[in-house]
Amino acid sequence: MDDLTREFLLESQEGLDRMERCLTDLEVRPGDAELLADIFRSVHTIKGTTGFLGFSRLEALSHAGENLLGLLRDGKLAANPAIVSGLLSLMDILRGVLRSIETTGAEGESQQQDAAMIARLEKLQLGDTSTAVAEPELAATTVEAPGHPGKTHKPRAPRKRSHQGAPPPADSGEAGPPTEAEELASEPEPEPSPAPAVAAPSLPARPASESPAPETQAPSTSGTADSTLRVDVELLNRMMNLVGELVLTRNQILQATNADAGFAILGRRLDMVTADLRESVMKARMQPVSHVFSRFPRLVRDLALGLDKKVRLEMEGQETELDKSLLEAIRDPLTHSIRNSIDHGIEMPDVRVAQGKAAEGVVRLRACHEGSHVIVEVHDDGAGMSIEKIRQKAVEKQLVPPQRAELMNEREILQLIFLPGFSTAATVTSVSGRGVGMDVVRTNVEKIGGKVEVDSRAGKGTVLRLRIPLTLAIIPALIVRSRGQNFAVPQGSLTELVHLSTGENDGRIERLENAALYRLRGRLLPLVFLDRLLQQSPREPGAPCDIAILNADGRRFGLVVDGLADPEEIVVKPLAAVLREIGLYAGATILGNGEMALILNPGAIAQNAGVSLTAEIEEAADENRAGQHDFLLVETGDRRAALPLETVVRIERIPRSRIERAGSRPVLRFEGALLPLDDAAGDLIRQTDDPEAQTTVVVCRDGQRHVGMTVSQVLDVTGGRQLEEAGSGLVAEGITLLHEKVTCIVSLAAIPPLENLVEQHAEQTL
Amino acid sequence: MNDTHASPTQEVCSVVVGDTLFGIPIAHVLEILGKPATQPVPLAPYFVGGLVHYRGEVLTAVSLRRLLGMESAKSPEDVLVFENGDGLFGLFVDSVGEVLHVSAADHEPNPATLEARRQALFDGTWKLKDRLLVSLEPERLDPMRLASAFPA
Repeated sequence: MDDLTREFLLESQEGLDRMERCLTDLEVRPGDAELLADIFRSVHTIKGTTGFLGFSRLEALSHAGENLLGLLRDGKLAANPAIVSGLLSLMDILRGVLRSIETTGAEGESQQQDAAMIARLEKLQLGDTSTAVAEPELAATTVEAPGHPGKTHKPRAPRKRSHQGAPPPADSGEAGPPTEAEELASEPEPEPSPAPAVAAPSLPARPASESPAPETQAPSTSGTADSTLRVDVELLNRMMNLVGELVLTRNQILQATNADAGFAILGRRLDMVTADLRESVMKARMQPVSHVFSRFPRLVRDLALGLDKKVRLEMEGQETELDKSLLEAIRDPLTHSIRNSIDHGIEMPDVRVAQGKAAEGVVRLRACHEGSHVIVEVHDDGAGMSIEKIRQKAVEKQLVPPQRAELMNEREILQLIFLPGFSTAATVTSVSGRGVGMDVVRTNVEKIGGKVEVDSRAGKGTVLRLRIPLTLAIIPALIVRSRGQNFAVPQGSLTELVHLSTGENDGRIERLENAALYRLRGRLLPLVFLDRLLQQSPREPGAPCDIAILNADGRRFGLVVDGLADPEEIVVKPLAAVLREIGLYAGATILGNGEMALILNPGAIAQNAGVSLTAEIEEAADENRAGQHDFLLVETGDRRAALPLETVVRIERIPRSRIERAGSRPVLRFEGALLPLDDAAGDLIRQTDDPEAQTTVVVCRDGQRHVGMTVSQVLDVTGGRQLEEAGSGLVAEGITLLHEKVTCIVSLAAIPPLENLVEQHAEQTL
Repeated sequence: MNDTHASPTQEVCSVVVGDTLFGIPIAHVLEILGKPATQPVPLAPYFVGGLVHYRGEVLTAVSLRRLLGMESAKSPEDVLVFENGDGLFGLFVDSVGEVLHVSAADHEPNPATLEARRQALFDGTWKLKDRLLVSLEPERLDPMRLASAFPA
């Protein structure tokens, strides 16, 4: 396929996408002249180029569409659902032909379909009785060349030159082509000098001949063409790859230069530039979600018409941007969810009215940023899901034991719709709510590292929330070691870490026949030994080990490894097909120290080891029943302190040299931002000569901001009980009971914000 | 060079595995990595020697020793990089030797007495003055092909 055709295909696709958006809008605002002009332009552009490229089928079809649109644009015909439907089906056919050109290089044959379509469009033109009959011709001419009656130019750019030299009479005659050739040949000479002489006769002709151009073409292209550029996705992928490399090299350099003060500054600079570059390249891959959203008005319209329901689609946050590959990945889950909303959520108009709702249901699509995630919500004001029915169904399908189902709260019950067994056809129709392949939606979203949440009120509606990471290519991961080999575990599925020191693991790892279990806060957690899973040489019994507690696709288990290394941001490299087939690896990566590591796929490991799905629900139910708060128990200096677990973002072991000072306050650059540090452990005050000295920093969330706290040691994650004052029964604030010891809860709010820090600094320097 | 011969000559990269000298057409060799760091892949098919870092990519490398049912090498191995339909892959060999010029006239097909697996892997042999140079086609060493041709 030549470049011109490829360019044409791209442009036409975009045109059709725009047209689709506009057409559905048109139904709401039938008289909107701007919309009509926009649609008209899209079709006109296609028609113009097709004639030029010799795609006669496209030309005939778009010509018919253009005639109809011309009438609409000129106000001779008013848009109605029949016309919009007609134009939409025209669009479908056009898309089909474009696809055919893309794959086979030819338009394909479908005489009958085309003829029927054209006839349909012509009939629609006649819908208006008064003036329509004579219109088609008129409409066509007004578009093509209002300045040249009877002349059908092929759109070719250099043509306007001929008008300049040749006076109007010559232009309209048969002599046109030869004169043009003559003139083009002799152009350099007459061009500058005769201009004033010919000015008078040519002036009236010029505005007439050139005015249609800006009207039909310019607005669609000139605005964005100057400031944007089409870039091959392949090139962007490659750039992303190279940036990934740079990130790796940077990591290596940072590790290598930590010891040297002179290099450290250069290293930091490299660090910043790399971070910036990475962000820019990632931005280049971003596309607004409107690329996916734009097809939904049509989907909603067609579905609603088909089901005899009245549905309005509201979209919000269309400008929110997401990595292109992720955008592609959420297309299907979103389509599925919207279909569900309309099919199962929104009630028939009469039912809605009877319930005191507006006859027209509303499906709201909303996208927004939240931290390093994009949230996409599908909200409907339909019937919602009945908790009781889901509970019944889940028990009936033996997805949860009846006793357990009784104890589950609403939220947990709602999560049941994501269980694979829940989505069989029979279930869908007998349960009032949804369930059509919700497990598929969840699997697809989790495949790209996202999460799905659902919230529903019977009679009020349902919200489905997709939480999507901003990018795929670079993920935070924890590096674990097993039998001398590195493996990366994606942080997304990691919930906590447990260390078992020498001798301790015998007692704390329990066995039920062949199944190894760990008692985590009173509940048994299935364990998977990485060395055994991978058939590596077995480790000595009783050697110290770590348990990474993972939650993958709703399966919760502990992965037993020899040891932990630092968390790292890793660049995911694909594996060859023969290794993908093993199924346990999600890819490979190159670590900061230059070693390679295989990336484990927690979901596949859980499945391989037969960890059941409901484990997560049990766990959640258990935690909620206990009504406790979980705390991270840390040691700071010689005291023990508790940090509310929900505020803990990350625990980092960092070289002391990374901590910098702003004024008198220690600060840490963390994920590109500045983190105020509370030196609770007193670690930083103590002088040390050891350049490799490390310190542990717990990064916490305090409202909107993040703060860090140095600690001597992280002891445990454990549930704390509230304490009441004797006599008064008032809940004591700021303390909790952990491991049967009264422990102070760290007040994060007490860490002064950075604005103060700057002021302090200013005062000091003054 | 050998203009007197009617048959065309070819440049092959000689590699040693165990006691055997192999020759691989140089045109197919993308790069030679001298004793790179490797990473074993647990549970991989037996013929996969491990992963190798090559220009920002992680390559799957086939071990010729394992493929031929020989003992693992005692010392680090060299890796040849080839291109296949899927991307790139590597081949572990004991060591890479010099580039040799061989003539098609000196080429003979595999002897019928050769074991079946080697029949399928080797592409005949060239008769050098003092020894044999076994011809290897990188195409036959493509991990994807090996997986279907020689399941464990």
